[in-house]
Amino acid sequence: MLCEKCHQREAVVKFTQVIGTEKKTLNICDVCAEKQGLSNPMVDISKVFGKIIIAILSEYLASQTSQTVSEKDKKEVCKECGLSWADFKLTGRLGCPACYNTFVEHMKMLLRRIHGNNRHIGKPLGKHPKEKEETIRSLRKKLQKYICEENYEGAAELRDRIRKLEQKK
Amino acid sequence: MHSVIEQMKFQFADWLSGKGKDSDIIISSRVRLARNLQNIPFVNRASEDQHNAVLSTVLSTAQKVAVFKNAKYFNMFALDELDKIFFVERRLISSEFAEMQSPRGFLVTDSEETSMMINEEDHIRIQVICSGFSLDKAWYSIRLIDEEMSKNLNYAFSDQFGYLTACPTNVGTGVRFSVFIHLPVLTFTKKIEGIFSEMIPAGIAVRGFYGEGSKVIGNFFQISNQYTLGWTEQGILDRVTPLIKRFIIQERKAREDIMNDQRIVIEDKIYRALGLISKARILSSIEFLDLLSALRLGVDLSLLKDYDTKLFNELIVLAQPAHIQKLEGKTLTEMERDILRASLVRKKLHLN
Repeated sequence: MLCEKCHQREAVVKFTQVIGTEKKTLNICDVCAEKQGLSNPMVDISKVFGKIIIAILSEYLASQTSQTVSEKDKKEVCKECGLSWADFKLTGRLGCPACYNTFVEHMKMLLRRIHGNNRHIGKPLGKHPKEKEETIRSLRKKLQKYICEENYEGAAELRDRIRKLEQKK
Repeated sequence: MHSVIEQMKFQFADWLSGKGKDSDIIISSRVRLARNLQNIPFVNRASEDQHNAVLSTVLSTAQKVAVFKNAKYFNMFALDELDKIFFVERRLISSEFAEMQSPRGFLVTDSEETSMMINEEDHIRIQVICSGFSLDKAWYSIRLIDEEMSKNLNYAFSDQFGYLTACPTNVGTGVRFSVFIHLPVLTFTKKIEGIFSEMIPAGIAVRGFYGEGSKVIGNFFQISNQYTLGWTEQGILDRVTPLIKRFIIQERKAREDIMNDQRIVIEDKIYRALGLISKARILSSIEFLDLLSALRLGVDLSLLKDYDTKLFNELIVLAQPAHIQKLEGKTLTEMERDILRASLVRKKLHLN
């Protein structure tokens, strides 16, 4: 079998990637393996298969339309940075943060394909949620202490702070 | 700057120390965080002025974060090609970052545990690497950096999609957990194929060199999360961790079984590797990795008592092409490198 990168030398190494139940392999020669940095197991090899995103993208596009890049795609343009949906289809990279809003319906579908989900539930802007919980817990302890000490003014202030924190998403 | 690099080539990152939990099987644990600034195009579409603006804003903010106080900063324009590959081999920058042409740079702490690329694919890429199975520890420390940075920077964020990144595969949390795992016996006994088809949950990737009827390189694998959106950071960590633990348990069991049932077979493999490495005069990096994998296993199984894990971890980096050329102080042909690699390894293993 010939190397799938250079198509010249005999492939001697098989590189395998499994994501969930999906398995892909790449047969390459010694020279290409070294050139790709694959002889260094420490190097981030996630990009070896080229742009995974483009593969997912073309799959998504195939389900949507028979054409890869249509005239309509060229007309969908981000006002902030000038990137068109056609550009994105070719590179798999967005142009600016505003692109997510410009192409919001495409993105919702695409992200569902990539992540199985399209809504962020992780860390919000600002504090990490776990840290927020820790802060609230320590404030509650302090509140108990204040109540025991009959420091009602301090307790009221703390109560308001806790309430505010809890309301913050 | 040149003297800094000259000094670095004789030093080793903390994550190669072979310390930490399960470090016989897990070489290192890494967490990476992707962030971008609001109202500025992503790196691929920003102008040179915007690249420079991002670089100076992020750099001055980062240098105020405690962990980066004494960190070294490298402007990529000041490095030659060999230097760049040297840093790729040390895992401080990506090969894409090395090949880019736009204004960019990176920060690295003395221990090389924490680093930050500015203007790679995203404006900010922070990474923490620790020795052994220590994703929790790495996550804890990257979280603190992120927290500090976010006080002074306006991150690109949307309520629907979370932290916005140039590539949709990183959006949401922007977090990637990964470990380098050494699975020589599972590979040798071909059990790995079965495990791969059975136990990889959706959203997690395992990569490595293996496969029917082909040469295996070094038995090293990478396990990482693919999903970054729709899960909390802790949720992603909790999804990756049990899978890694299962790999560790299976490899340990396979080692125990083979030592009970076919001890001579595994001893033969390890001592042959030792024989080859002590006599070889030309050693390609791929052949070297194969031998190194066997010797590392020999240490784990207490068959090779003169060596330790740390030495073999360090050799993985030291025997890479750019490191050999840095040690020699000049650029070399592939053949010259292979010859020097053979003698370097003999010297390090006291096999002269």
